[in-house]
Amino acid sequence: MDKYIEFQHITKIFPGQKALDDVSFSVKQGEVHALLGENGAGKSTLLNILHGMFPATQGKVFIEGEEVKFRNALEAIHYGIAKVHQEINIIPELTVAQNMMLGGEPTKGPLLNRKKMEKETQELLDRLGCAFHADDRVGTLSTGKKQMIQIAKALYMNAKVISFDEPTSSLSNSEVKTLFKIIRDLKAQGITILYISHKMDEIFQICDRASILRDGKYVTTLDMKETTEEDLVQNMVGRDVSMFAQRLKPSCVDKNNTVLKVEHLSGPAGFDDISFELKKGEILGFFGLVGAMRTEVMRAIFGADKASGGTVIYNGKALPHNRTPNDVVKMGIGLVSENRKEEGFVKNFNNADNIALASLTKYVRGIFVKESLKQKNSIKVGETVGLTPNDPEFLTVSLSGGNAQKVILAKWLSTDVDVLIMDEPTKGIDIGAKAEIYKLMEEIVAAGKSIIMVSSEMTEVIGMSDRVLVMREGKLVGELDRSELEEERIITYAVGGSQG
Amino acid sequence: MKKIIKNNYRELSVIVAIAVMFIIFGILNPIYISSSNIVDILDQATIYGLMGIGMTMVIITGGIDLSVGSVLALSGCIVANMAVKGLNPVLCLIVGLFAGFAFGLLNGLLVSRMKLQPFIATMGTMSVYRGAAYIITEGYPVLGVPDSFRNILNIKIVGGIRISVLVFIAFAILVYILLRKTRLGTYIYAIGGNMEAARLSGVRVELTQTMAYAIGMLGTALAGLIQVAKLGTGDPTTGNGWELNAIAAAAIGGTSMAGGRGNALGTVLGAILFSGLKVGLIVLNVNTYYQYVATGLVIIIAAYLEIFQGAIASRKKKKVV
Amino acid sequence: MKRKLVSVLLVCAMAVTMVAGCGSKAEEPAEAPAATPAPAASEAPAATEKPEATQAPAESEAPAAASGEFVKYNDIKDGLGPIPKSDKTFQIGFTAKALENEFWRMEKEGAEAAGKALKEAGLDITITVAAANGESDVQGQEAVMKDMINKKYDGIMVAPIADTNLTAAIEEGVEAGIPLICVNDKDANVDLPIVGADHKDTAELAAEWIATKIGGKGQVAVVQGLPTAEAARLRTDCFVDYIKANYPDIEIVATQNADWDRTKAKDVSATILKQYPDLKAIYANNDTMAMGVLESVKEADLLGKCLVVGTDGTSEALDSVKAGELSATINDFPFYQSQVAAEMLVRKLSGQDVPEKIYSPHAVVDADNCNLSNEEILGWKGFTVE
Repeated sequence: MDKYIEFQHITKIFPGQKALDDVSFSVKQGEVHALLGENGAGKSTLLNILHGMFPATQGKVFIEGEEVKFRNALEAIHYGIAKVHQEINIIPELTVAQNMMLGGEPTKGPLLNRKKMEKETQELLDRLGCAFHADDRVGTLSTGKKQMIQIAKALYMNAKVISFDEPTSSLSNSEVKTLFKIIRDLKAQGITILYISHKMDEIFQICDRASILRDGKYVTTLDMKETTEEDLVQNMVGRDVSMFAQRLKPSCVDKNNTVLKVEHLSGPAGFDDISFELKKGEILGFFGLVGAMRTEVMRAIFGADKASGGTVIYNGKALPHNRTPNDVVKMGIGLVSENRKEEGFVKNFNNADNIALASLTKYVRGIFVKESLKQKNSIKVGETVGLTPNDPEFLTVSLSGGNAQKVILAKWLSTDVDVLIMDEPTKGIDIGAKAEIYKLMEEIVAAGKSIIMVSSEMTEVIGMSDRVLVMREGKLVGELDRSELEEERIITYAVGGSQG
Repeated sequence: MKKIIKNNYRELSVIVAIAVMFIIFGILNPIYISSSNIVDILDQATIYGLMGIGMTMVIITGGIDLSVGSVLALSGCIVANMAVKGLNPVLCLIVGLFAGFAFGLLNGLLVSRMKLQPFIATMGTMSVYRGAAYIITEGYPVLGVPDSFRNILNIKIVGGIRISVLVFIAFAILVYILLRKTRLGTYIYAIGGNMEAARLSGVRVELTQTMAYAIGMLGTALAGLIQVAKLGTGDPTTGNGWELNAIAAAAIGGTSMAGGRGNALGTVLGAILFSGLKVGLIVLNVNTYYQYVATGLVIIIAAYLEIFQGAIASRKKKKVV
Repeated sequence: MKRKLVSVLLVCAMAVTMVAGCGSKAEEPAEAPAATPAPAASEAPAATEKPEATQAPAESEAPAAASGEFVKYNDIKDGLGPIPKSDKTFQIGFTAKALENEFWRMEKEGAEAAGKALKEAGLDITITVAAANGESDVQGQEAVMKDMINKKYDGIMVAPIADTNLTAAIEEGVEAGIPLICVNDKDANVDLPIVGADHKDTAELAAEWIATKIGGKGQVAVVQGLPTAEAARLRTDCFVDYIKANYPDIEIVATQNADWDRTKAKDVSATILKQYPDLKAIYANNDTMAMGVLESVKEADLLGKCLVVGTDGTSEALDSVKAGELSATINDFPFYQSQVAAEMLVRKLSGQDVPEKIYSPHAVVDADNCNLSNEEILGWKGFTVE
C-alpha cells in the first residue's frame, strides 16, 4: 500500500509559534521511513499528532485510507500506533516486566499474573538480545538498557506502526546492531516504521526513504538509494554545512606539558586501575561501549562520586582524596555532564544566572553580586559560544539542546578552568549546532586549555580527538594516536577482540 | 515598566488581591479600613509572616521545615525564662536568636550532612523541640515577662505601629536582599532549581542548604520573641500546627513547593492577605465555619494563580524559540 | 521526583488543615478538654457558700441515682454518707489525657491526692495514673488502658481523648467485669458512669456574673474555643442563650473562634475591641484564651472597663485574678473532679449504690474570693470512711 499513512495539510500552531505549516506526505506500508530535520523543524510535533498527544490545528491524518483522530496516546496505542520515545518515560521503581505491561497487565482473577508477565517479557528481551532480566528493577539499569525496554514495550503491543525518536542515542554498538536486525524483522512482517535520528550512517543503513522538514515546512521525500548524505544535509539545513566532525585547525598539543595525571584510579562503581595523562592543548577522546564506565571515571576525577583509590594530579598538585566538585573546580577542572537537563543547568535560571553559576565570585562587589557584571559576562561569553538568542534574561530551559549546551560551555568558559571534561558533548544536538560545538572545542584547546571528550559517536571520536583511550568494563584497554584512529581498531578494543 | 510587571507578576497579583479585599471589606464595614485596624492587620501578619519568610528560604532549596511551630514555642520559652529571671533584655533577645539559629542549623545538618529527607528530619525535630519546650517549662506557661523585655519589641512608635512590625519588614527586606543579591542567595535558588547541576558547578551544596535552614529559623525565633513580647508569656504549647500557616503564607506569595522559586516579599504579602482576610471576617462577624472555607479558598485560588503564571511563562518561552 | 512527592503531600496536608480551618486545631493547647466539672450547685455565682454538710446522714436516704439523669455532686454528697469500710485491696487505675495540659495535670494530682487521702482514712488503696502521650496519641492511650485491664485492676477511671478511641478497650474492661467510670469526657459508644462537667452551668455562672457586674446592659463579646469541641459549643451557646433570656439589654455583638489559642485570642479580641470600643465584657471559653484577651484589653487601655472572664481555673488565671487583672474565671476544679470520680469508684467497689452520672463541682473565682482556699470555695471536706 503506497499511502499507508498519509498526512494531509497538517498545520500546528502553538501560542505564538507555527510548529508545522501545511505538511503533506505519505508513508508506505512496511517501509522504514526517516523523518529528518534540525531540532525544532517539527519532526516530534508531527509524531505527537500522529500519536494523539495533541490535535493538529488544521489538516488530517489517514491510516489505510481512513481518517484517524486520536484523542490521546492510549487510543493510538490501541489502534496499533506505538512509539519509542526520546525522553525515556519509564518508572524506575518498577521491574522491567511491570514497566512493559504497565496499563495492560495480564490478570488472573483479581490478581496480577506475575508469572505470565515475566515470562512474556523475558521472551521479548531474549529476542532483543538483552542482557538483563524481566524481574530487574528498572532503576538499576543503564540508560541504554532502559531504552531497550521501550523498544521491547512497543514490540509487546503488536503495533502496526512504530515510531522511533532517536532510539540509538544511548545504545552501545552491539545493541544498535541488534536493534537494526529487529527493525528489519519488523519490516519483513509488514510493520511500518517511522524513524527520527540525527545519525546519517544509521539512516543510510536502515531507512528506505526519508522525508525532510525544515522550519515546520515539508521540503521533500527522498529515496535513500538515490541520494547522498550531502543531499540530505543540504535539504535539512538549507545551506551547505559540513556536518562532519573534523579538525579545521592544526593540532596544538604541547607534548611536554602534562596538565592532568590520573594514577591507578578505582571506584566503587567497578572501574579499576585507570591511569592516563592529559597534555596541554589536547583533545583526549574516551571511547567505550555502554557499561565501559567512562562517565563513572570522569565523575570520580571530578569529585562528583567518591573514588576508592588512586590519585589525580593536576599541574603537579595532587587533588585531595575526599574531593568535592567545589575543590576540583577551584583547582581548575570543569565537567560538562552527559545529562544536560538533570545536571547541566538550573531550570528556573536565565542564561546570565546559569552562565555565572560556577564563577559567581567574579561578579561580587562588597557582599553583593552585581547583576550588571553578570549580564555583561553573559553577553560576552554568549557571543564567544555563538548562543542564539544571546539574551541574558532568556530561560535556559527553553533553549534547544544545542544552545543549552552552549550555555553550559559558556558557564565553564567564564571560570578559570583549564581542563574541561565533556561527556557526550553533542548528544541530542542537531547537526548545525554540532559543527559549532566542534569548532568551539578547537578554539578552547587553541587557547591552551585541554579537553577530555567522552563520546560514543565514532565519527566524533575519530574526527576530533588528538588521541583516543578505549575503555571496556571498567578498564582502560587501548590507546590510539591520531594517526592510528580507525573505526575498526577502536571497536576491536572496545569489544575485547584480539589485536592484529 | 512592562518588564517590572512581568517579572513581579506574582507579587502584583497578591497586591491586587489585597486591594480588592480592602475595598470589599471596607464597603461592607468602614471600620475595616480605619488606620488602627490596618495597623492591626500588619500586627497580626507579623508572626506567620516571619515564620513564612524563613520557610520560604527553606522551600526554595527544595526542602521543608515542619519544626518551626515547635521552635516558636521553644525559643519563646527560653527567652521568657531568662527575662523572668531578670536578665538583661537585650541579652535575652540575642540568646533567643542564637538559639533559633542553632535549632535551624541542626535541621540543616540533618538534611545536608545526614542526607535525611527534609520532611522526615524536621518532623523528628518538631517533636524534639516541642518536648524540650515542655521540659524547660515543666508544661506551665512562663508568666510575668517584665516590661523591660516586652517593650523592646512591643512598644508603639509612630501611628500606633509597633516595633515588631518594623522588625518583620526589616527581616523581609534582609532576606530579600540575601536571596537576590548575594552569592548564598543565588546558590539557594540554584540548589532548589537543580541540586545536581549546582553541585557539579562547584557550589557547596551542603553548606548552602544548612545556611538556608539556619538563617530561615531566625525568622521563627524572631516570631517567638515577638510573641513573648506581645503576650507577656512564654507558652510551651503555642505554635502547634502553625508550620502549615507559614507554608500557606509562602505559597500564597508565590513560593513554589517544588523549590527554586519564591521570594520574601511575596511571603510578606501572603501573610498580610492571610491576616487581612481573618480580620475582615471577624469584623463582619462571620461564622467560624465559613471562615475556614474562605481561608481555604484563598489558598486554592493562589495555587491556581501559580499555574496561570506558569502558562504565561511558557507561552512567552515558545514565542521566542 | 522526591521533591514533587513531598510537595504533593504537603499540599494535601495543607489543604486539609487550611480548609479545616487555617485555625489549626487539633492541638488546642491548654485546656480543650471538655472539661469542667460541675458546679457547686445551681446557686448562682458566688461560690463561697455550700458549706454545711456536716456528718453523713445515713444510708436511709441514699442515692436517688436515676441512672440517665445527671445529679450535682454537692447535692448528693451528704446523702451518700461515709465511704463503707472494706478489707479489700483496691488497685485503681486512671487512664488520663495528655499531661502537657495543665488541666489534666491537675486531674492527675487530684487522683493521687485522693489515693493518699483514702489510704490515710484507712482503706488499702493505690491509685495509678497513666496518660496518653499528647492530645493526638489515641492509640497510645488505648495501650495504657489495656495494660490496666491486663493487670486486672479493680477499677479504672477513664478520660478518652476522642469520642471513640477507647471504645474497644472499654468494652474489654466491661467484659472483664472491671468497674469503670469516665472522668470529664465520655466514650460515644459505651454508656458508662461519669463524673462530668456541667458546661451549661459554667456558662450560666459566667453570664450571670458578667450581667450583674455590668448592671444588666451593654455590649458583650464571646471568644470561643475550637467549635468542634462540645465544651466550646455548650459554653458559648448557653452563655448566649442565658443572656438573651434574662438580660434583654445586653447585646452580644461578636462571637469569634480563637481555637483555644492565646495568640489567636489576643488577635481576635483586638479586632473586636477596635470595632466596639464600648465593649463591657468579653467571655472566653477557657483561661488560656482569656489571658490572650486580657493582653489586648490592657493594650487598649481598657483594663477594668472591659471585663474579661475565663473558664477552667488554671493557675495562671487564678494568679491573674489575685493580681487584679483577670476579672473572674469559672473554676472547674479538675483537682477535685478526679477525686469525686475516685470516691464514686471506691464506693461502688465497696458495694454501695451510687448515682451513675454526676456533675463535679465548680465555682466562680473573682476578686472577692480568690484568696480563699479551694476547699473553702468549694466546701470540700475530704473523705470519711466508716
